[in-house]
Amino acid sequence: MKAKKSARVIAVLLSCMLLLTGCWDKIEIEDRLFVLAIGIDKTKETEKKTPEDRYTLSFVSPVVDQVKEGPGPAFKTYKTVNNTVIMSVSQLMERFSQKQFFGHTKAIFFGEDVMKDEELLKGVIDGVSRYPELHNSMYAYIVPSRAEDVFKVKPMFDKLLMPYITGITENSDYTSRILKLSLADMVIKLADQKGSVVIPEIIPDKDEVKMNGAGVIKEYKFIGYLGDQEVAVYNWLTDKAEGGNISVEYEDVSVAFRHFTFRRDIKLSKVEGGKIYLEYKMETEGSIEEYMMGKRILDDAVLKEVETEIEKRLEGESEKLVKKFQQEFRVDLIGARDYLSKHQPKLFKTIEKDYDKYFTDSIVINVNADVHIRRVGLIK
Amino acid sequence: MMIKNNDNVSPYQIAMIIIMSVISVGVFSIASDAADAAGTDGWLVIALAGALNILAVVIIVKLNSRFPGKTFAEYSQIVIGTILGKILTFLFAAYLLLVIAYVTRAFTEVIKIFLLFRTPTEVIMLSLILVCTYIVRGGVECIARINELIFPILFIPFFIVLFFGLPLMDFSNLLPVLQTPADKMLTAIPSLIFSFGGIELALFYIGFMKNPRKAYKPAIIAVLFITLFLVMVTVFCIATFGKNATTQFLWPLVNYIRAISLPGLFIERLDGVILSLWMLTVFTTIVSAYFIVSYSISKVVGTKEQKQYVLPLAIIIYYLALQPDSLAELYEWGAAIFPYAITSFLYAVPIILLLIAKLRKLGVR
Repeated sequence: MKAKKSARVIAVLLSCMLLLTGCWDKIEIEDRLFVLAIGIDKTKETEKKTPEDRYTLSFVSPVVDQVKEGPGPAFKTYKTVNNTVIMSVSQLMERFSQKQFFGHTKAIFFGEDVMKDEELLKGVIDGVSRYPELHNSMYAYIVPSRAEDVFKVKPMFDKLLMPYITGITENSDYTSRILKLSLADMVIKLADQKGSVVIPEIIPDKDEVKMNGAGVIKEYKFIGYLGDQEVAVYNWLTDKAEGGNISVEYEDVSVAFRHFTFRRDIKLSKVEGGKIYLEYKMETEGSIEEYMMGKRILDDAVLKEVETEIEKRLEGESEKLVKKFQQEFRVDLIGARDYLSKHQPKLFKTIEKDYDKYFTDSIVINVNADVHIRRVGLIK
Repeated sequence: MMIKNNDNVSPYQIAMIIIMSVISVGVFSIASDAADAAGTDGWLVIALAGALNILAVVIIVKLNSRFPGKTFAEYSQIVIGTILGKILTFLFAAYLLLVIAYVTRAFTEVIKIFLLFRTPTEVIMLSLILVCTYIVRGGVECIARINELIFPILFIPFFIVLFFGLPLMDFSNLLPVLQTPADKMLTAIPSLIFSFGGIELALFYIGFMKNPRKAYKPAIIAVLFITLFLVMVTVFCIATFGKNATTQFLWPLVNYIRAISLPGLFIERLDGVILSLWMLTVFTTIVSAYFIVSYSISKVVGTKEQKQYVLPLAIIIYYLALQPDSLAELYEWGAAIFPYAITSFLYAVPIILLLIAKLRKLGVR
């Protein structure tokens, strides 16, 4: 009896092995190729292997044994050409011994060509949101030339390219002239704003990148760029600014003002004669960083006047950019639709159908800034 | 049996059984369905559906307390006659069998996409069903205990993880509130009812209680908990993604968990952890329904034990789960069958039985 029972137990344990020994999804870490960034371009005619090829994808991966200290380059780049984005990703399996792993991908670069083509851009956005191996937390950028050029940059002070680029983007907490946009945010904004979004621009150079402007996408189509300062203004208007610098002239002397917090609120002031009047209230506080030696700024009256100067600057620049969006780009990316749909749903329902027309013609935006200078630095 | 088989379910266990049977794969997609049906008011529709279900569960407890010590399979034969009662019980069992197959398949699809890409579907399904079979053979006490045991294991880590996502949220995405017309909200309720399917299992499990009257409080608390949980998940998803993006996603909750990253912690991504935990709630849902199926069959056929039906049923479940060709077909089948089945077994059948029992003055008051 006892022998029979133990035989039974052994049989059960042995049959467990049938289930426990096979692991289909095991991938050793040496077999993983960590992809740190993806660049997407429209395929050039000369690159096409078949007429259906549409995308050129570039990838960058670290060379693990060279990262810490090594004479060779710390990262390698490679590219592939295919009809769809995800096909190109799997095409890499045919060329590398390792398997691509996208869990640590930090950035995705879109070439301007892709952004100019509605069909291509829609394909990319669908592919990257559908593909389960990609994480949406990577940052998105537009490259005015081609995305693959970014990967040719050899950064001056960093060994690796990607931490360098994402590091710059993460400085957006301290300077308002840098725009930060993750792929997840981009997908959300595209859904909310009917295919329109402002995406940070990156310009590759020989040993550095510049990241000051931004590209404007309207209905899945690239329509223009914002300049350096306009990005700061865009951050103010959309309540994305945090820290940053503003310089103004006060009595022919340049004054540098640095803000640590920045808030923007929208209010509906009135609806009159078929026009909607919105008030953008901006509130910021900070300190004076630079003035003129020998002149005294620790004086309430002077500070008040400087505050007015800064307010004028904020209001002037903001209204200029609002005008640019209303008349040049003709698309609402500055939060008016967001405000109206959330806080004035009844009003919004009446204008929802051809909102773009209302935005350009009948929405009047007034900017009202309120600056507080709290500190003046270490000297009077 | 080595363990004394007293086949009793405590009021606390009733609450656990209801919670763990209702919460399963539906939670992944509920935010998307809600946002689709009523936009930013989606969570309100879920709250309304929850209120409706409190009423339903009160009726179920009322019906059961007329027949203490008897489950639906037994008292339905008393109320509407042996043959009709047996047919009703059989239909109930058939519906639950479909639920099990649906849940098994839907969960396998989620696991396949996010966790085990190359493991064959059949292996994932079979291992899930076979483990469930083992538990179900243990009887009702075993099921009550497993539900009681898994509840804290699942929900404590899950709540902690959910709150790590707070920095991602923008609660202004929930505005405007109450702008959906009332008639649209009311018509949206039925489409969300499936998320509450599983409460009807109480028709059976309350029968295993010593005093069914004690089930009012735990049953209502369980439905309240489920409603709050579903509302919370929906609010979090809509606050994070906005209503437009939420409607695009197939499983917004999975997207939400994937969006959370904890830099500096030992593990940065949590989707793997949460999905493996989630397997537990799917497991309890299947187990609770599975037992009722085998129990109903034993009552319909008229045998004392239910054990011998469990293993053959596993084959049927496996076969049914493999029937839909694709996820799209699975969802179409679900939408075609479950709203009607749930409405009849959760609302219509208890109300009709209660009325007949009252008119024929059956059972205790």
